[in-house]
Amino acid sequence: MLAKVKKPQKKEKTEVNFSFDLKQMKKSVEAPSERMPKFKNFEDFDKWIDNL
Amino acid sequence: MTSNKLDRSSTFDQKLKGFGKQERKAIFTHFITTFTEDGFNGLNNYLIDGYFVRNKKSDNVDTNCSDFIEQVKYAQKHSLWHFHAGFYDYGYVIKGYELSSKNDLTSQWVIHYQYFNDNHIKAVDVTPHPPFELPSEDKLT
Repeated sequence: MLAKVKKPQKKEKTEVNFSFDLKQMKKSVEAPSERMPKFKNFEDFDKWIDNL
Repeated sequence: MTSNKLDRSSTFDQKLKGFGKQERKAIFTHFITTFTEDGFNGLNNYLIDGYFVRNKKSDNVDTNCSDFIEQVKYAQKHSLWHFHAGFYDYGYVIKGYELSSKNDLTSQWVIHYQYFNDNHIKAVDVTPHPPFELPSEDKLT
């Protein structure tokens, strides 16, 4: 099992440098898109992929 | 609680389907679960064994690249980022990652995604590097 360690105190939240093309972003956000379902565990995720 | 929205492109789906269990598990554990639970900030502060996994903007293009400016503009236009996936490192040092000279964890394969906001991203492709190649526009849909 892979260990996952939560965020430490030493690193602050990274501010995203907002230099993006806003029109393109709006278009991308509004475009029809497939949303990733929620999975209870890896086995569910694995089965979901096989059925794609 | 804010719900984190993870969209995916058809290319990303195809890549997932082509991967074996090891690769799928790495993507699920490191990337999908982390973003779903903790959003972009989770990806940006994801630690394994005390080391950060590298997550960075994709406009940091190699200056030796012949179309450097175009690549930078393209990455910025589409707000492209990439997260190191955790498989096929060269030394298999730390759970699929290797420790870089910058003291963070990297791997040969990276997950490309578009950043929309801290709670909404779109996974678009998974590729090996080097050479680092940005996903083409047809792979963003």
